[in-house]
Amino acid sequence: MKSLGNKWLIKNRWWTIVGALFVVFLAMAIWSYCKDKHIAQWLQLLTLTSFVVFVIGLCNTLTNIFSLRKKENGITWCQIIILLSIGLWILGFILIFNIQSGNNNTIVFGIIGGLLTLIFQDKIKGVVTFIHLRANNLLNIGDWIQVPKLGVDGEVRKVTLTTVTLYNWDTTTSTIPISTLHADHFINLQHMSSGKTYGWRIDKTFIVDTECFHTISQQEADMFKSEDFNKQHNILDFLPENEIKEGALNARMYRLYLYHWLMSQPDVSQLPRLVVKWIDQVKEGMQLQMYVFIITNNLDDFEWHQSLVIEHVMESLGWFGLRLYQRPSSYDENTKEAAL
Amino acid sequence: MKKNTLRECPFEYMRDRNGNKFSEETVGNWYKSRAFVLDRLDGNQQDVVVDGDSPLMLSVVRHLALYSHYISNKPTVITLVSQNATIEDELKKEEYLCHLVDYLKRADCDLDIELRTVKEFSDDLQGVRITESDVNEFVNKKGHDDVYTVDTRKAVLAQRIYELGALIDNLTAEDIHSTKRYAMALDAFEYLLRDKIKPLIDKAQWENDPIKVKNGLSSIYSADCFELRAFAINNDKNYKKWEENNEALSISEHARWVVERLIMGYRPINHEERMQYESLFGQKRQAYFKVLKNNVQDLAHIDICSYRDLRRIDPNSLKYDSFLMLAIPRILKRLKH
Repeated sequence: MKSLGNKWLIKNRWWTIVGALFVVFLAMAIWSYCKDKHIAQWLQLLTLTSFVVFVIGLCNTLTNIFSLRKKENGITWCQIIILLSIGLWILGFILIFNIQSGNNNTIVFGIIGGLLTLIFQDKIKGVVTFIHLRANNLLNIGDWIQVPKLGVDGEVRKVTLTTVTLYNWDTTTSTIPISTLHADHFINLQHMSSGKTYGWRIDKTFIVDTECFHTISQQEADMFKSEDFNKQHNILDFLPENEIKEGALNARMYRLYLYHWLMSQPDVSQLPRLVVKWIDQVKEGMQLQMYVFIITNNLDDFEWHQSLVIEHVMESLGWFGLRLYQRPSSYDENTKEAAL
Repeated sequence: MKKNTLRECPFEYMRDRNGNKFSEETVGNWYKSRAFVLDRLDGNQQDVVVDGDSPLMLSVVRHLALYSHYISNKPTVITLVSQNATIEDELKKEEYLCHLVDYLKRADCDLDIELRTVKEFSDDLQGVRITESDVNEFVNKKGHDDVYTVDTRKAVLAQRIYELGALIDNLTAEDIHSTKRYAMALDAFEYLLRDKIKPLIDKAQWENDPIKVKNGLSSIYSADCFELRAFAINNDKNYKKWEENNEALSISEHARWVVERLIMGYRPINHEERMQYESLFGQKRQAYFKVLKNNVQDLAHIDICSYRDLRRIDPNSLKYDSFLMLAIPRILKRLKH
């Protein structure tokens, strides 16, 4: 940390020059105070300005260092010090030029102040947002956030009083005004991605061809219960035996099977909900919805398990005499015509 | 007998699944083996060789299983030396290990203890050797009350934690190890700690309600491990240390709880019960959960599973382990350990 800090401090020498200027101006201001008060006022302002610029430069450099190390408190304090420095500059300005009601300068400075407020209103909102986000711990370096309105989806790299810099998943970088995060809704996925919630959601719908829906015969029921069949597919571990009987609908049996199968998977959370249900019928067939949560703290792991679950659905549908709907392709049509 | 203790005799209230009380000899062996094992365990993980298969030595095995839970990646090996060909059946009796024997054989068992049986003692066996004469010698040295009664103060306070945990719904189910989220509940507990410690045993209730007895004993077994937990984090009185190790401690506590439940006669749910449980929703599922765990003739518990499975099956229960682990230093401070 120390060597990293030194490297940054040496590299960013411009504000050390400002620091030296601050000392020079301070000396001159003290000297001129005794000689000419008008010059002294401007020298005092220069002294104050160079001091504030020095502090801002130092804090920005430290913010970069703290951002690299994800030192959240350090970043917050640096930004607050920047804010206080700006406040100090405004206060100093008022005191140096003796701006009071009735004074000629008051109107001019009032108008300038009003205009500056108007111009920098987003910055001011940004400051408020920054304080709000940091005080409530809503945004940290490394958080994965989405801002739907701006189409931004990535990892937070830097947070300042006015902007948030994000590294998007498509490897581009976005810088957005921090005030957006106060005015519009944003999604912080960090808790989910670090495995601190029930898990990552899979919400998939499969269209099952209704042509293959049927009630099972006694022969089929016996087959489902047979040792050979279960050696291969193991369905009795996940389907209550009393559900396997002549006249039972294969689609219902499959829904129950899939539900119990998911409930027993070591990476599937039973809470907050695990749903396997039929939803609206569409012209292609019946839609089977699967709504489950995978326990993991890694995107790749989640995708892997999601694929395993989907593959199991594709595989197991056939055991129950069901199949997924597939719109006929031109190849299918041509093959059919050729056969005819 | 030490001053400022609350000594009670809880084991006499234990009943088997048919509602019969255990013999005096069995109860006596429990007291002896409990006192002996607690005296022997110093916090350092150690494998143990129990040389002998008398009822007293089998009780020692029972208490070793109850208390040998450490924060470690490797299980504690308990080796029983016995020439009895049916020793496993003997161990499966309710007064010894009950369902634990079968559970340890399951492929999905992730408990932190391992049970082995050998025909003869040899120097190659790993662990500290315990013989019946060791136990008897220890019992003879100790005063009657030190062996045949239990200081229940810690257990009373542990029970308060369970009761408080059950009351406070907002103890998070997700992000269970975010210790900051227990802050308010712990403040409430510290307030409760000021109350006078009343006896654990309510004779009228304990005589008639076997579940109450099991829950009371559960608090005792849990509380008996407090010092071991403290040792695991180098007896650090700093609460921060307990927070940092909360997850590891909670995992260990869950393993201890599973062993304790299995020994106390609970079994994991079977295939049919699982199907039934999964087919019920909301209040009905909760009601079925209670039916299973309160069926005195055949006790079963959903939460008898690995910690990982508990996180996906019944995450609301995770709070008890985490909360208790955070409360231990406060309890020990209150009792000036």
